[in-house]
Amino acid sequence: MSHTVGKKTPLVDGAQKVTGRAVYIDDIVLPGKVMLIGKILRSPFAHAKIKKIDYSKAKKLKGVYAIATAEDSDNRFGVLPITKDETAFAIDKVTFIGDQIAAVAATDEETAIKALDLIQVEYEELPPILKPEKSLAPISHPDQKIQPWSKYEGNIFKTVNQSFGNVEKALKKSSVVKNGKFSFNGVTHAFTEPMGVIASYGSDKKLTVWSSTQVPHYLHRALAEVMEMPMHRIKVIRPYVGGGFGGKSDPFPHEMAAAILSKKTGKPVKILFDRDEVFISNHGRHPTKTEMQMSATKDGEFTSLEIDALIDGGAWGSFGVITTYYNGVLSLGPYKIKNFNYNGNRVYTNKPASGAMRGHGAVNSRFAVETLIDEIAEDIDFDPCDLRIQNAYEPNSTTANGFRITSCGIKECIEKVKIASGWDKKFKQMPYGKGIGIGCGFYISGSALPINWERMPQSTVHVKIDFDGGVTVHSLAAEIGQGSDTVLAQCVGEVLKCDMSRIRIYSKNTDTAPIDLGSYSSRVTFMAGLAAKRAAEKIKKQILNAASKIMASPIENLELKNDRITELKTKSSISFNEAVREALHDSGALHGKGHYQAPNLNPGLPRVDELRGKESEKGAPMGGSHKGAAAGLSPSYSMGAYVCQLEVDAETGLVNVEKVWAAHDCGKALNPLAVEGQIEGCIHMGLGQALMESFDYNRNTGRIENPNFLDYRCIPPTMMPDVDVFMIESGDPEGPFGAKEAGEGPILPILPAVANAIYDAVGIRLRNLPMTPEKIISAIAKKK
Amino acid sequence: MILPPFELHNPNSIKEAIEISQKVKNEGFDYVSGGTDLLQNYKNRLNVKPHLISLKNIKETRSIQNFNIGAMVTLDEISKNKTLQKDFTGLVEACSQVGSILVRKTATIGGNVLIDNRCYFYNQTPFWRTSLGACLKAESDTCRVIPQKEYCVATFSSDSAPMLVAVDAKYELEGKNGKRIVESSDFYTHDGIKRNFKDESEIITKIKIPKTTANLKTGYEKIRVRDTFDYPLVSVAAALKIDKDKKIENINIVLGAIGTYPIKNEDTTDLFKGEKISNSMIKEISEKIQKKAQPYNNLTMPVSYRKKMVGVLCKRLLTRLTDS
Amino acid sequence: MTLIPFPSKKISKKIVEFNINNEIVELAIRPNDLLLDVIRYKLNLTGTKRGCDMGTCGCCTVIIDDKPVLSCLTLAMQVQDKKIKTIESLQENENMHPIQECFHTEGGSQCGFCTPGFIMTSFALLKENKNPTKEEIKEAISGNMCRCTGYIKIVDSIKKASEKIRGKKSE
Ligand SMILES: Cc1cc2nc3c(=O)[nH]c(=O)nc-3n(C[C@H](O)[C@H](O)[C@H](O)COP(=O)(O)OP(=O)(O)OC[C@H]3O[C@@H](n4cnc5c(N)ncnc54)[C@H](O)[C@@H]3O)c2cc1C
Ligand code: FES
Ligand code: FES
Repeated sequence: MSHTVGKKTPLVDGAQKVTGRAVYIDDIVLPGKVMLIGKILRSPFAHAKIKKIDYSKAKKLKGVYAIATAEDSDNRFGVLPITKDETAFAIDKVTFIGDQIAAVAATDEETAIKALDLIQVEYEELPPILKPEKSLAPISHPDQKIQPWSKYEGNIFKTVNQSFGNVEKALKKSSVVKNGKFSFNGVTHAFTEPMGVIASYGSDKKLTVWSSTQVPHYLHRALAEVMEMPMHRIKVIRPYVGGGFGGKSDPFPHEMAAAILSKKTGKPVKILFDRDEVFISNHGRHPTKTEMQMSATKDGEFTSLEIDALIDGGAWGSFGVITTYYNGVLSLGPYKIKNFNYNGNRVYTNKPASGAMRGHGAVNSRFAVETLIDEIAEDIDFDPCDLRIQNAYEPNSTTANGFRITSCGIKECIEKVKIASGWDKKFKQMPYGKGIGIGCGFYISGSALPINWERMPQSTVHVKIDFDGGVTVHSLAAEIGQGSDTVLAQCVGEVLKCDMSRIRIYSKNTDTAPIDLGSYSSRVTFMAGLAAKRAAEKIKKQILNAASKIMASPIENLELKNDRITELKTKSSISFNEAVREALHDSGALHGKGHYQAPNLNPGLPRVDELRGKESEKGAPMGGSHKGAAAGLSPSYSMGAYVCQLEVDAETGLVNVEKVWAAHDCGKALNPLAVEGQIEGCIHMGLGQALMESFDYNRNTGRIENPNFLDYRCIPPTMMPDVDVFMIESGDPEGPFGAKEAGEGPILPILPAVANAIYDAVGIRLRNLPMTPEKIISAIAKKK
Repeated sequence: MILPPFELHNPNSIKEAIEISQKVKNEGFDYVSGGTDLLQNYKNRLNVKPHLISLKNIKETRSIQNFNIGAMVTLDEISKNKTLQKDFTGLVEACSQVGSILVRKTATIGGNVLIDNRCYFYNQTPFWRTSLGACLKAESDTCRVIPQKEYCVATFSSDSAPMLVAVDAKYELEGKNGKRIVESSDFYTHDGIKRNFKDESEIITKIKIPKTTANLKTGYEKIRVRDTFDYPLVSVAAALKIDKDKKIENINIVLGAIGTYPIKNEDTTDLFKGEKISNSMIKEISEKIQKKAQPYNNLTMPVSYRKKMVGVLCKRLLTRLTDS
Repeated sequence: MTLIPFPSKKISKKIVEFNINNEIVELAIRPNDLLLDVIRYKLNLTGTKRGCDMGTCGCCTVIIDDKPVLSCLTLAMQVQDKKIKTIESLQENENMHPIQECFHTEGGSQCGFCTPGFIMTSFALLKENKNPTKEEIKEAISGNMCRCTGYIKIVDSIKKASEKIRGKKSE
C-alpha cells in the first residue's frame, strides 16, 4: 500500500498562502529602505528606427538614480540557445508596440514615471508588418526585415516540412476526406500575479535576482550572458509565484533591465509590471491559421492527416522553434494515423512575441483534428466516441513519426466519459439548442531532448537528513501553484515512508538547489519526481544500513513503514530517528542525490550529448532519424477525453456550458487533489479560449486593443460548468510511481468538445476561435 | 498604478460640499462618491482634476424613503431593498447587473447615473493612448470612432439610467444656485464629453421615482459576454402599463449602451398605445426599435451584433413582462 | 504621438486614523494614496494582493465595516475611523480560521495569489449567510478572479467552511 502517493494531499506550502504569509515578488522588503523603483519606457510604434534617445533631462530630475538603454548592454539572450534574439533594450529599432527602449531607476514610482515622460526618443517610422501572410513573402527592402541581424532571409523564423508514409496513396483508398481552414486568435496566460523582479548588485560584486519566474535556471543563464558575469556570482531566487501557465517561462528583458540598473546604481531595483505591461509582454499562445485535411475509410480507419500551419510569432523567437514542430507532430496521437504531411511556418511580425502557453503548440491543431474527426464520423455514420476508440493506440506503440508510446489509457478515457455522460441517450437526441460533444487530447510529459543540448541532467534533486530527523529536499523545479513542491515531497515521503511533516522543500534558490530546468513542458512530476525518488532511495539505503547494524539483521529483513523500521521475523522495531542517528554518527548529515536524464530509447543511435548541433546528420536519440525527430519526443505521453454538454441561445449566441465529464490518463495521480485542480483549471482556461478570450490587435497599428481584464475576458465563477473528473491510471512504466503529466494535456480536449457540442446543439461548425456570440448567431443565420 | 496627485476634500454636508466646490472651481474639481468609475479613469490619467470632493461623509443622501433613493445608496442595497424588489423590479434588475458584486458593494446610484461615457479609444492606459494619439475626449482633437465627428460619441453605459428614464424618474440636484428637480429624460445630451446638463457645482442628492411606478410592469435586459464584470454591450429597459383587457395603456422602452445617452423610443411605442398586446405586436415593436438603433463602433463587439441584440432583448423583455 | 505626462501638483499629507485588524493606527497619508498601497507598503500587510488595479480581479479585497471592498479603488484617506480587516487577522489562535483551513485542505488555493481576496469575500459572505447554496457562493465570489482552480474547488472550500463554522460534519 502506498504511503503518501495517491493520497489527496493539501499543498505543502498551502498554509502560507491561505494565511497571506506567502511572500511573492511585490511582498519582498529589503532592509534599510534602499530599494529603488524601476520603470520601463516602451515603444509607441510597432516598427520604427530609433534615431536618437535623449535622456539628459530625465537624468537631472531629482530622485532619479540611473537610466539604462541599449548603450548599457547589447548582449542577446533568449530561452532557446539557437534563437537568441532578445536584448535588454531595443537596439537601433523597435519591433512592436511595447518594445523596451529604456528604463529608469528612481526613489519612487512617481518620480520614475515623471522621468520616463522626460526621455525624448526620435523615431523614423517604418510600415509595420502585421499579417503573417505578409511575413511569408520575400522582402524587397532591408527595412522590411523585422529582425535585421537574424540569419533568416526574410521574416520567416522557422519552417518545418515533415512527411511520413504516403498521403497521396492513402487518399486513394479513403472514402471520406474532410478539410477546413481554421483560425485561432492569440490568447494569453492571464495569471493573477503581474510579473516583477528585484535585482540587487552587491558590493561583493555578486548579483541577486528575485523574480516571478517558472525557469530560474534559464534566467540564471541569461543573466550571466547579459551581465557578462560567471553564473557562480549570480543568485536567482524564485519567491512564491502567482501563476505562470508558460507566461513566466522565458528570461525577460525587464529582468535584465533591473540587473543593469542595480549594477549602475549599486542599489536594489524593483520593477513591477502594471497589468497592461503584462499583456504587452505576452508570450501567449500564437495566433495561428491552420489548414487541415483528414481522411478515413468507410470502415472508420483514419488514413491520413495533412496540416499546413501559419504561426504568427510576433517580434521574437521565444519557444517558437518548438511551437512550430508541436503544431504538427503533437496532432498525431492518440490515433493511429500512418500517413502524415506537415508544413509549418512561424513568422516574425511586429507584435509582442508569442511563446509557450499551457498545451504549448498542441491546442490549436488539436481543435482542428478533433472537429474534423466529428465530421468524418457523421459522414460515415459512426458514433464519434466509437470512431475514436477504433483508431486509438494501444499501450507500447510507435507513432508514424517515431514517438514511443508506453502507457496508454485513451480507450478507457473515452469509454469512461461516454458512459458517465449518458452519451448514447443524448447525442443527436436533445432538443434544438442543447448539445453534447466529445474531444480528446495527447501531450508530452516533458521533452526528452533538453533545450540546451548538453550532458547535464534535466533534473537533479538533493535530499539531506541531519540530527533533527528532518528531511530536506533541494530542487530548482519551480513551484508556481501547480503543486510541484508537494509532489516532490510525496515522492520522497513515499520512499522513506516517513511522515509528510518531516519533509521540507527548498526550491527557491539557485545557490543551494541543484539544477532543474524548470516548470514548463509538463516535465516536473516526471523528471524531478524521478530525481527526487532516486535521491530518497539512496538515503533510504543508508538508513536501512544503519538499522541493520542496530538490529543485527540483514536489510532484506527490514521494512520501513510509518516512521518505523521493523524486523520482519522478530517484529521488533526501532524508530526512524533511531536509525537516522545511527547513520549519522561519526559521519554527519546524510546526503542523497538523484537525477533524471532522458534515456536513449533507440539503441544504435547516438546519445543526446554526442549529437550536439548535428541533429540531421546522424538521427536523434529517441524516435526516428528525420530532421526534427526529437521535437515532441517525450519519455511518456498523457491523453484524455472529455464530453461537454451545453446550451446555445440561438438568438443571442451566448453559450451556457452545463457540464463537463473529463477523463485524463495521468499514469498515476500522485496527488489527486492537485490533478483534479489541474484538470478543472485547464477546463476553465480552455473554455475561455473556446468562447471568449482573444488577444485583439489593431489591424493598422498592431497595438493590443484589450490589455485589461475587462476586455480580455476570462470565464468567471458564475459561468463555470459542473465538472466530473475521472483520473485514469494507466501506470506508466517509467514515471515516478507510474505517474505522468497532468498540467497541460488536460486543456486540449475541452475546446473541440465545446465546438462539437455546439454543432450537436444548433448544427453549425465554427472554425475561428473564440466562438463569440456574434460568430455563433451569424453562422446560425447563414445556415438558415 | 499610482493615482496622480489631487487634493481630497471630505465635507460632511451637501452645503459644505458646494461651498468647497466654489472655492476650488477655478482650479477644477470632480465629485466622487463610490469612486469605482472615477478612480479607474484617474488611474489612467483621464481628465484628472486637481481637487476631489468626496461625498462619502454626507449622511443626508444614504437612505431609501418612499421611492426617493438617496444618491449615496449603493447598488447592492438597491438590489436587496424589499420595496423596490416588489414595486420597481426593473431597477433591481438593472442595479444587480452592474459590474461585479464587489463593485456593487461600493458603487452608488448617484455615481451610476453620472458615470463617464465609455469608448474603446478612451478607456485605455496612458501608454496605450500615447501610442495612438488619444481622442477627442482625452488629449486629442480627433475622434477615433468617426474621424470627422465634431462631438464625442462615447457610449453611456449606465445600467440604471435607462430604467430610470423609462419610468420618468426625476433627479434632485443641489448646487450653487440652490435646489432643482430635473426629468431624467431631459438630463442627458448627445455629446459624450458634456454628457448631461448638470451644472458643475451640482450634486445629485436624490433619485425621485414616481409613485405610479408601482402600477407598472418594469424590467431590464442587458447583453454582455460574461454575466459579471462586463459593462453592457447594449441594454433595454421597459415600463408598461397594461389594463385588464391586456391593452397597452402606457409603454416606454429605453435603450442603454447604444449611444451617448439613454435612447427613448416614444415615436415607435406611442403608435401601439391602446392596442391589445400580442406576440405579433411585440415582434413588430422590437423590429421597429431595432431598425432605428444605431450603435457606434466603440465597444468590444461589432455594431451589427449589438444592433441585432436590441431586437432580441426588446422581444424577450416585452414577452416576459406581458406573460407575468 | 501625444505624450500623456504625469500631472504635477504639490499636495500635503494628512494624519488618518483607523482600526486595522483590531489595532488603531495613525498614518500620514496623501490624498492620492490608495488603500491597497497603504496596507501593503506602509503597514506591510502584504497578504492583500494587487492583480489588476482596476476592480476586475478582486485580489485586493479587504473588509471594511463588515463589507468586502476593493482596496485598489478606495482612497486611503476615506477610511478615517473605519474598521478594516485583512487576511492577516483571520487566524486568532494556533489554528487557521475554518475558511483558511478549508481553502487549504480542499484545494481552493493553487498559486495562492487570488486566495486572500477570495477568503475575505467568503468571510463577508459567511457572516451574512451561514448556509449558502452553491449558486449563492458563486454569486458572492463573482467579483473575484482565479486563473488556476477553475473555481470548482473554491466553491467546495467555501461550502465546507460554512459547514465547519456551523459545526456540522460534511455530508
Ligand atoms: C469592473 C467594473 C465593472 C463595472 N461595470 C459596470 C456596469 O456593468 N454598468 C455600469 O453602469 N457601471 C459599471 N461600472 C462603473 C461603476 O462602478 C458604476 O457605474 C457605479 O455605479 C458608479 O458609482 P460610484 O459611486 O462608484 O461613482 P463614482 O466613481 O464615485 O462617480 C462617477 C461619476 O459621477 C460623479 N458623481 C458621483 N456621485 C455624484 C453625485 N451624487 N452628484 C454629482 N456627481 C456625482 C462623479 O464625479 C463621477 O464623475 C463598473 C466598474 C468597474 C470597476
Ligand atoms: S487589484 Fe483590485 S480588483 Fe484587481
Ligand atoms: S490560485 Fe492562482 S489565481 Fe487563484
